[in-house]
This record gives sequence, structure tokens and C-alpha cells, in this order.
Amino acid sequence: MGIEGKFKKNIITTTVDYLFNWARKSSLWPVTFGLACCAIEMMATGASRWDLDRYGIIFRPSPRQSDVMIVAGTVTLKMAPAVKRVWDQMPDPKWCISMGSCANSGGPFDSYSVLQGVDMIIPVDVYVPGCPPRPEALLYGILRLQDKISKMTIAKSE
Amino acid sequence: MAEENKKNSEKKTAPPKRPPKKEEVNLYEDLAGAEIFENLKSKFSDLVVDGKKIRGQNIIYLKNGENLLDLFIYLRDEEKFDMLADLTAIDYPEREKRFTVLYNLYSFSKLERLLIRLDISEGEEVETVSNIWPSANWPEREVFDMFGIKFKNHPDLRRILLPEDWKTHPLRKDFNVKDRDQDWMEKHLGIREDVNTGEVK
Repeated sequence: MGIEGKFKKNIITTTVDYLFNWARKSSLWPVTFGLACCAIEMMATGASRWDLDRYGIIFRPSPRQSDVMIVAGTVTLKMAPAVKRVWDQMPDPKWCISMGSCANSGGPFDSYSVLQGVDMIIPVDVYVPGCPPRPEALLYGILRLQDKISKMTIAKSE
Repeated sequence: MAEENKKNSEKKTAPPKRPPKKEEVNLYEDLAGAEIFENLKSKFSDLVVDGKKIRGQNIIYLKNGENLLDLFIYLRDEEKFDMLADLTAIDYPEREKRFTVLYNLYSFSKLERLLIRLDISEGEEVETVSNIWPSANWPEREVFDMFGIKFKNHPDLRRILLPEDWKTHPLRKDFNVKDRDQDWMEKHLGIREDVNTGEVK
């Protein structure tokens, strides 16, 4: 916005923060992007039983329209450049949820072809453990990300 | 009462029966005399090394040679093995001829399988069978990817699973399964792991 880090915390910045954070956390649009079995759980979370739509979370088919990336599954070395490219194409502000053991740390695949954690190539905000995580676990991770977003501020850090 | 106790103790002290010692069974039978083996041996005596049978499964042992393709064409047209069910390879690092290429053939008219084992040494090229059975195209690419065995005259011999600029062949026995190609990672991802600590730079 061009005014980040210019003012100390005051009534204006906190009000602006509140408004913007509310807007951002209430319309998290993840990029439609799955790599392995975790993606099945992610789809289940988006479907009618757990229903991500009620949080304003709508999967977008383009990284240009998304602001959160759920890395759902094993990131193989061959896939890693594509993951990084999708992340780089997303406009700021953007967040990343690492879903499942494979994306967190490589999981059981300590092998020649698997990246040992997606945080080696992109910054991760929330790690969701599990193999694969239950939809409740992913939902919890998303709620924690909302908490994290609601603490963002444009004021100068003291 | 005392008698009963005595009976019980006798039962307990009786040594358990040992299972009879299993004789080592050689499951392999000689294929000599079988029609297909004799036919092959008379026509391609320079290629056919041996023939065995295990649990009703015929195996033909071959060595590499100029007229290998003629043998496969003969198997397809005369012996009616019209499908190549699988093509793969095995690495025996202790052997002089290091690799074995396996052809798993199936005949729909005879309802019969035939396993062909072709021994080759490292660096030796095998003639492709993708012109005889088109289903050999991708399995041969996979064998090339995983073992580094080259197939002569293959229409499209590129890596099938790993990235094109990958260097190693992971299914070779001397390959360490945790050996991530750091140069590749640095080139494409801009990261490099410390091999001992796993730290990322």
C-alpha cells in the first residue's frame, strides 16, 4: 500500500489493520494445487462435509488470483521448480501452508528424488502434521493461519 | 489326584516334536526336450545359453548377439508370443556380465508365458524390441533411466521418470538411495544441502 512501516501504532493504523486483516483472513483463496494423497484430503476439506466455502475459502485455478498455497503432498525434486514457479507467480500478500509429513520434512521419503521439506524453497507459515492430515487438521491449520493474519500490521515495528 | 498330577507332568515334560528337516528342493527343472527350447536351440545356437523351468514357467537364458532381433521376430511370428507383458532389468554387481534384461512374453493363442533373460555387461548396447512389440518403448526408456542400459535404434531414448539433465541411474546397486544430486538442486532450485548435517545453504 506504500504506507507500511511509516507510522507507529495509533488509532488510524490499528483501524486500517483491523479492516485489512479482516478482509484478508475472510477470503483466503488457495491455488488449486495438489501433489499426492494429501490433495485428496484437501479436496475432502473443500467438499460439502467440511465445506471450506463457509470460511470464504474458494480454490482458484490461477496463482495470479490466489493468496495462499496449500502444498499438499510429496514435493519431488522434479516437481520442485514448478512449485517454486507457482509460488513466485502469486501476488503479495501471500501465505503458505505445508500440509502433511512429506511437505513438512520429506516424510518417509529420505531418498534421491524427494525434496526434504518444502520450506527449503519457499517460506512456510503453517505446518500441518499428519500422513495424510485429517480434514479437521487442515481446517485447524487454516484457522491458525487466520490468527496469524489477524496479527499483521502496517505500523512500524518497535 | 496324584495320578492326574503325574499324568500332567508327564505331558509337560514330553519333548516337543521337531518338524522334519526340509530337504533342499531345487525348484529349477531342465528345459531340455521341451519343444520351444529345442526349436530355439536349433535355430539360434549361438544365442541360447540355457533353458530352465520353474513352477511351470519357462525361462530361456540368452547372450547378446547380432541376430538377437531375428530370435525375437521368430518368437513373435512362429511361436506366437504376440504380447510383451513386461521388460525390465536386474543389476548383479558381483557378476562379470553385470546386468540382466528380462523379457516377459505372453501368447494369447497358447495361453503361455515365456521369460527371457539376457545377460549383458556394463556399457553393452542391446537392440531395441520396440519395433517388434510397440509396448517395449516405454519400458526400455525406464530401463535406460534406472540402469543406464542403452537400447540401439530406439525411436525415442530419453529419460522417462527423472528430469532430463539428471546424471545418475538410481536402480544400480552401487547407487546410494539417499544421494540427492546437489548440483542439480543448486542449478534448478538454488539450494544445496550439507550431505552430513542436512543443513540447507
